[in-house]
Order: sequence, then C-alpha cells, then structure tokens
Amino acid sequence: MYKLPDTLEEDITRFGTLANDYRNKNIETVQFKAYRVPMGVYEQRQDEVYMSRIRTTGGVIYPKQFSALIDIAGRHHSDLLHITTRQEIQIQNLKLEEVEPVLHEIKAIGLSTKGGGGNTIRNIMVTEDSGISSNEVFDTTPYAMALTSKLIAEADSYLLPRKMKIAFSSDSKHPDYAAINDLGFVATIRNGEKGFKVYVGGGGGSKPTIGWVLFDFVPVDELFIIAEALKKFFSDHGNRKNRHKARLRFIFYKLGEEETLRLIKEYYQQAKETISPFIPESEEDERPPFSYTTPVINSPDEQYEVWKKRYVIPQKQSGYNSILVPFLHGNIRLNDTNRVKRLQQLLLFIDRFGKHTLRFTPGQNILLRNIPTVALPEVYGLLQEIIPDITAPILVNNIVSCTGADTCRLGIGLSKGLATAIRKRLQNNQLNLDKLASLRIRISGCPNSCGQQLQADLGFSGKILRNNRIYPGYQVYMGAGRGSSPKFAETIGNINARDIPEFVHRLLESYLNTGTLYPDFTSYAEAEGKETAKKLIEEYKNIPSFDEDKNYYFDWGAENIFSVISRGAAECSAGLFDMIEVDLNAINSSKAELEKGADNTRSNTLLYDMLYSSSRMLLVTRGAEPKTTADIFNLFIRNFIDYGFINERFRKIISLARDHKRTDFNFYRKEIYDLADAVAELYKNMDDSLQFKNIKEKKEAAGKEKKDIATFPDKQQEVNKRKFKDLRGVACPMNFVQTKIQLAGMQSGEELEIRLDDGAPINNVPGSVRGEGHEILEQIQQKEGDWKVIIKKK
Amino acid sequence: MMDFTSEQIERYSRHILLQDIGVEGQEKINRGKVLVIGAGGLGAPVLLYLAAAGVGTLGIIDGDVVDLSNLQRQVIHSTPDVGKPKVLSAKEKIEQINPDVNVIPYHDFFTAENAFDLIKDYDFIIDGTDNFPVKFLINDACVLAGKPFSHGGILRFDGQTLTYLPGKACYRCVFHGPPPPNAVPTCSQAGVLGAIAGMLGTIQAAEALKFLTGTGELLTDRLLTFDAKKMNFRTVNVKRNSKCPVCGEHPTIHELVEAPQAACELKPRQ
Repeated sequence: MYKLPDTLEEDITRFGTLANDYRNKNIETVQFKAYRVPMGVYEQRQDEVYMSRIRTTGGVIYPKQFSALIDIAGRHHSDLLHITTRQEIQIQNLKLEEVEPVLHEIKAIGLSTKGGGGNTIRNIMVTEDSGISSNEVFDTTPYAMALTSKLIAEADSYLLPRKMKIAFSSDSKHPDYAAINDLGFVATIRNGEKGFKVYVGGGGGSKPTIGWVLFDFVPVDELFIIAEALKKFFSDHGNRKNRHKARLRFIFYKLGEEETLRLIKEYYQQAKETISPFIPESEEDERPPFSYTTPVINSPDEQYEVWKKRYVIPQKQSGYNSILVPFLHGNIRLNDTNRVKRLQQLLLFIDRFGKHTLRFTPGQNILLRNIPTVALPEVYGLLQEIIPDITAPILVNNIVSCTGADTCRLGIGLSKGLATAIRKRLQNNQLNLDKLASLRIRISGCPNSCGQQLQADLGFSGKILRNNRIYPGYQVYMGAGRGSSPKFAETIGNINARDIPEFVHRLLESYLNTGTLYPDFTSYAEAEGKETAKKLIEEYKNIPSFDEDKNYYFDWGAENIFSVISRGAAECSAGLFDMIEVDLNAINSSKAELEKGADNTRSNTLLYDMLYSSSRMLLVTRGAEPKTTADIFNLFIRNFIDYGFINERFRKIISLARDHKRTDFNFYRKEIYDLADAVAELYKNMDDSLQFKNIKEKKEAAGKEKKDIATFPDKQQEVNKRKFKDLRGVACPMNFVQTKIQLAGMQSGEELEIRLDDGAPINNVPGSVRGEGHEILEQIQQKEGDWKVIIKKK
Repeated sequence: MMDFTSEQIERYSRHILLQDIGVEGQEKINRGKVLVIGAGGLGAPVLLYLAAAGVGTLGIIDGDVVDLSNLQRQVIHSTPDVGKPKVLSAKEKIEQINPDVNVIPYHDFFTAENAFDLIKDYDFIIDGTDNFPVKFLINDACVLAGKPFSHGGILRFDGQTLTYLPGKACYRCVFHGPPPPNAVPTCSQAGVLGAIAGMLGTIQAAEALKFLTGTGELLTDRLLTFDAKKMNFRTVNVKRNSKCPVCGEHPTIHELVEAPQAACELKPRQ
C-alpha cells in the first residue's frame, strides 16, 4: 500500500474550514472548488451533492479497508459506491457536511483522496492480473506503489498544467493502458536486468493518440528519475492557458515528435544528476499461510462448474485462483442491504487468505486473487447472493458503458440503455459466448472516450443521425490492438441505435462461424471482420420513416422521442470540438444528400438545415448559448457577421432563415453552400485559444467591398497595453462594480491596474475580484496610503 | 459590449455585483424583449420588476381599463387611473421607474388571430391572464412558435407557475385543456388575496430575468405551487407528455383556436 502524504491531516482540516466558509457564503464557489477538486471531491450533476474519489493504486485495496469503506459510506448516508475505469472507488451522493468526516475516516483506514481530481497526478494503474499471470514479465505493482508514495508527497504534483495519468503494464506483449496514458511503464527484461519500456503522451479524450516510445529500455532503478523528469517537463511546457489543449500530448502536437522527445531527454539527463536511483523494497509475500477447512454441508449446485469455467482463472501460483466479480456499471448500491451484508461477509472471508486478495479492474469490476482452490465453493456460495446472473457468460456481465445522457450533460445517447439491450440480445441466443469471454464491448454516449470505445474490440459512441428528422445512432469502432503494438479501434461507420443489438449478434455470429480460422477476435477483425461489419451497417442504413415505425426514433430506455434540446452546454468544454463536429457532420451529410439529388421539398429542408448548422457551429467558441432557433441566427450575426469574420453578404440569407422559415431556400443554394464553406474555413483557421488566425489578411482582402468592420481586438496586440482605472474616492461596492465594468471590456489575459483607497476598499475588492476567477498580480501600498492593484483577467 | 452610462452603472450596480449576472448579464437584460400578457394582478409586479431591472423592451397587451376593484392587487395602477386603459396606466408608471425601457402597449385582447404576430418579436412571454382559455391559447401559440414563456395562475390563497422552454413540458402536458366554462371560478368570482399576485408575479419576473441572463435553473419540467394560508411551497416534477395534443408525438393542435371563454365578468372587446 502507498504511504499517505505527511500533510494529509492538515489538508483535510483545511478542506473542512473552507467547506464551512463556503456554506456560510464567506468564500466564493470558485475558491472552494479550486481546493475541493484536487482533494478528490467533485460536485455531482445535482447541485450540492458530492462525490469523493479514493486513490487505490493499481486497484489495490485490502479486504478490511474495503469493508471499512462500505461502513464509512453507509454511516455518512451515501447510497452508492462506484468503481471507476481507473481502478479507483468513489463514494457518491454525499452531502457537503459529511465530506470532511469521511475524508478523516478514510485517512484512518490508510487511504487518501488527495489528487483524485484536478491538475494532479491521478491514480496510477497497473495490469489487473499483475503478480498472478503466467504471461507477465514481472509484477509492476510494487513499483506503482512506490511511485505513488513519492509523487503524492510532493507539492508540485498538485500544480500541473493539467492532469497527468500514469499506468504500468506487467506484460510486455500487452502494453495496454501504459500506451494510452501520459506516462506508461511496460515491464521488460534485458540481459537479465529488470527495466521498463517507457511510453509518453498517450491518451483518449480529445485528439486521442497512442503514446510515443521514449525509451525502449531503462533499468527499474531509474523509475523516479523518469517520472520526475516528465513531471517537470510537463510543468514547464504544458499549456496552462487552455485546459482543453493542456494534456501532455498537445506538446507533441505543437513542437513535433522529435523536438518533444529531445526536450524530455534533456530533463531526464538533468534529473539523473539530482535524483538518486530508486531501489525497490523487497516484495512482501502475497500469500501468507492460512487455515481453512471446507465446510461439510456445502455442496454447490450444478451451476458451480459453469461459473468456475467462466469466472475462475488459475494463477501461476499453483493452487491459487483469481475470480472476476462483475458489478453492473461499477455500481455497488448500499441501500440493497442484503447484498451489502453478503459482500461484507465475502470480504471477511477472503481476508483470511491475506490482504492481497482483491483489486479493482479497469472494466469497473472486482478481481479476487490468491483464493485457494479449496475455498472456491464457499466463495461461489457467497457470490450467488451478491451478483445476479453470476453464472452468465462473462461477455454478458462485462459490457462497459459510460453513464450517458441519463445523467451526463454532454450525453447524446443513452449508453447504459444500449448496454442493457445488447446484454439482453446476447442472453437470448444460441451463440457460444464463452468463446467471446475476453471480448471488450465498450460504449460511450458521446464522442468523448469515457466509455473507452477506442480500446474496444467492438465500440460505440453516441451520435445524432438524421433522415428528415433526427434519430439516435452510434458510431461503430472495431479492432483496438491488443498485441505488442498498441492501437486504437478504428471507426467503421454509423448505425441507428435500434438495430445495434441485432448488429452485434450477427457480427459475433459471423465471427464464431469462422471456427478456429482466427486465433482471436482482433485477427478476425483485421482479416474480414471490419468488412463484414461495414456490410451489415449498410443493411441497417435505411430506417423506417417516423410514421412506419417510431421505435427507431426512441433511444434505448428512453420514454421520449430522441431529441438533443435537453443536451446541456458542455460542463467542461472537453466536448467543445465534438459539438462543433456535430454541426460540421450535419452540414456534410446534408450536402451529400443534396448531391445525390433530392426533390424540391427535401432539398429545401436540407438547405435550411445547412443554414442552421452553419450558424450554430462556431457559436460555442464565442461562449454564445442560443436558447431558441432565432437566437442561433441572431448570435451568428452578432458574433461573426458584425465582427467581419463572415462576409456581410450572408446577412440577408441568415435573416431570411430567422424570420421566414418558409422561404424557398432552393433559390439560395449557392449562397448557402458558400456560407457553409466560409464557416468551415474559419474553423480551420481557429487556433488553440479559439482565436481566428489570418483573419486580418482576410479582412483587408475583403476590405474593398466592406467599409465598417468592427475590429475584434487582437490578443497579441492588446496584451501589452495595461488598462488603468482610478477608483480612489469610490466607495464599496461601487468600486467593485467599476472594476467589473472595466474587466468586462477586456480580453482574457489582459491586465488592469486599479487604484483603491485604504481600509474597506483594499480589504474587499481584491478578494471579490479573485472570487470571480481573475488573478491579482500585484497589490502595493502607495506613499499616500492608497493602493495599486494589478489584475489579470481570467 | 454596450456602453453603460455612469448613471446606468449606478442604477444596475446591484445586478452587476452579482457574479452570475455581472456586466454581461445586465447587458443581456438591457437587450431583452419581454411580452407581458395582461397588466393585472400578475402583470403589475412582473412589469414593475422587469422595468426596474432594465429589460430593454417591454410589450404589454391588455384590452381592459382600470377598475376600482383592480386596485386591491394590481399595484401598477393608482386611484386616478380608474377608467384609463391598463396598458397606458402601466406605461406611465414604467417610464417613471426607468426611462431606459422601451414600452410597447397593445390595447387589445390576446386572440388566436393576433397571437403569432404579437409574440414573434419577443424573447420571452409572460402569461399574466386570469382565465383558462387564454392560458391555453398562450401555451399553444408559444409551443407552436417555439417561444419560451412563464405560465402563472392564482386563486384565493394559492398560486402556481411553470416555465416553458421548447422541448420541455408545456402547460398542456400537465393540464390537458381548459375546464368547462364556469367549472372553475376565475379570480373575480372567487376572490384572491392581493399579495398572492405579488408573490407569484415576482417569481415570474425572476424567471424572465434568469432566462434572459442564462442564470441558474429555470422552473422547467417543474410546477411550483404554493398555499399562502400555510405558506407551503412545493415543486412537483412534471414530464413532457407524449400524448400532449400540442407538443406530443401525434399533435392534434396545429393552429390556434380559442376555447369558449369562461363566463366571468368578461368585458366587451374594444
């Protein structure tokens, strides 16, 4: 187990103080949030409901700790524990006043939430069967633990430009998560010496990529040197301005592979001089002696053998086994008291076989380990009362999905509903699902990768599809690499949500029909599976019209017709580009259909849709949030035409779309095409900070026909000019009002100097400014007693 | 950015100070256009607060004139206004409160014929009427035109309100259609505690301001009701109804029609 940071007690107490201040409204939400999130405490979708995320390196938690955690959660009125895809566990649905005591109690059982969120070193992952698999090179868990202990003790691990994710793989043939984390270590042995192959910069999410190989081999004793070097490099070179382009991989995108790797190696050389090599402690014995007598009256039912075949895997240590315990969506519901009681019994039971008897898996399940073969019947007996369908084929119990549009504001599809539908379809058939036990079906409700569709054998991400109206659909992914050369799954095409369970069934059937031709699904996918999938998708392309069959217009598990109106503004705009893509794709598919030829009515609709999408597409980059259709057009005019980003000549057609939807847009076809192109061109020219490059030249080029383009202040030009406002003699709160007025007219990053009187003004205004997220750069008392304050706009 | 005069900065300072409103929010308010249907019990507080907040354009439609019995609750009108069209009386008060506001009075009733024309230029509509047929007419017009609006109703000591946004539950999703004429008394028949109008109207005004500034969570898919006798407030979650005749899957209402007016003390149309 990792070592708790020395400051943890103070940190928790400080959290408590801030939580109190926040509740009593003495500090602003952002101030509290800035401390709360790095402490691993998130506000959930519902206001004032909190989740606390507990660090469990490599998913390691001792049975007694887990049992105590269930008690803690229950005592503080949580009803839900949730296993994450980073092998952590969260206590959900906590009231704020419960959080501080919870953190203290978690600390008392030897665990910490610090660094569970924010721009910190996140939970370090380890191959789930590390230490017990016969395929592994060596067990990397002790290295992950040691690295955790070191990094979480260091203050600068909590002040990174963005989160930094680290993973270890013990199996050199399966780099797995190591290749898709910011920093990944793959166990390797060279000339008898233990070491790691090191990946950097990998990640899912926006602009996903497999990591770059930094070193093919470094000895294990350089573990800390590598980690510290990369942390420092990231800290110095990461983009702190734009959190959406801040992950390590964006440095690669910016500087190029060669330069980035060269720079990291420079940091590595420097680190080598200051950080001493790491000597791993000797590993403790995972399998202590135990005493266990098989109960006499305990004859398992006929399903026992089925379960054993499906869920029990013998370890490399003979006589011991690992057992997969599947939890639907990673959820452990605490109000189901009977099951919780049984789970507690199970934990108590496995504890007799040692502390190292369970881990959380990235599939959001629990993997029991080091369970002696003699104890299997009793474990089976306990599990029967914890997990429904405990003997169902693994595939049925192991479909991963994000939470989807049920609770996520970014969600398009109801991914959990789809998972259930696929599960049902697979249960009712004759397929030999045991041959598919290791198949990874992964579902995300939107193009973000929370449901891990990029790491799937068969993956789906929610997508809005449309014929003459919109309907729920998914983009299909296939064939993530599982071998020694990692790669993401590829997109195959789009399919309506309704037909997916049938599609999955038919695809798997076609795979199983190939018999022993292919060693695994991955090779099948490469050889013919992707082509088969494409053909199947083609068959499902045309869906019945709304009048023929409404089912296609309802998402799985939805009570209402599919709509995106309720899709909220992005919580964090990690989904910003995805939202833009939705419109871009809609424009392209309208175009495609128009090219094929459509009758007048249809082409009129398509052209209007193009106008609509073109107008909406980039609004999100200006922070404009349309509430109505008219808003979309008005905001487009205000933000793009008025500023001269888009040519004035389009004003007329936009106004027509806004005021007279019944216009025959066929007359304006060329105009609408031109507008769509102009918007796409503008998007291409958008830089990291959402500014439009080259726009100046364009304006000059277009300058002849345009007279009065309002200029959009150019960031680079203005940043050096500091604005000034003298607020001496202005009393509270008008001095703050005036400060806000000044800031409102400025660009992000610009500086404002204000003068304030001594006393109440200096005691209040800077705090209030900070409370709104701006930065106070300087605060100096002047000779006359008044104050000079320099503010940097957020 | 709009340029606020120093007078405006002073006037709106208590809004600007709010982190969720700020300069940007106040600009949105000043650019906002709200139509208030009915300048009576609910319309009065709505208009007073929206005017004070600086809503850029306030449309008021009401075909009535001020009656002495109105003054117990319709606080925008005063004793010398009796006999004056309500829209004019309201316009005068608003101009005294805040000269920034552009008031557009329509001395007329809200009908199926003029509904779409009236609402088309506004960002947000407020139902401040006192009878069911018009409430449903407002709902249908707003749903068909995709306009957000605030429904409000008061009777005796009770009030209820719901905010509609396109895609969310509408008034008809919750209440299928008007009750038969006279099944439910209107205010004038049943009486109403004057302050109730203020309580509900100010909630509607707050919803309008939240909508314009994009602040907080609107009262969508939730019906707020209160009983002032016990001073109990509660919100009931409501859902969009797939069988709703106007916004459901098979809408039967495609154009506006007026249900027969409840036979209350309706004034003849001018």
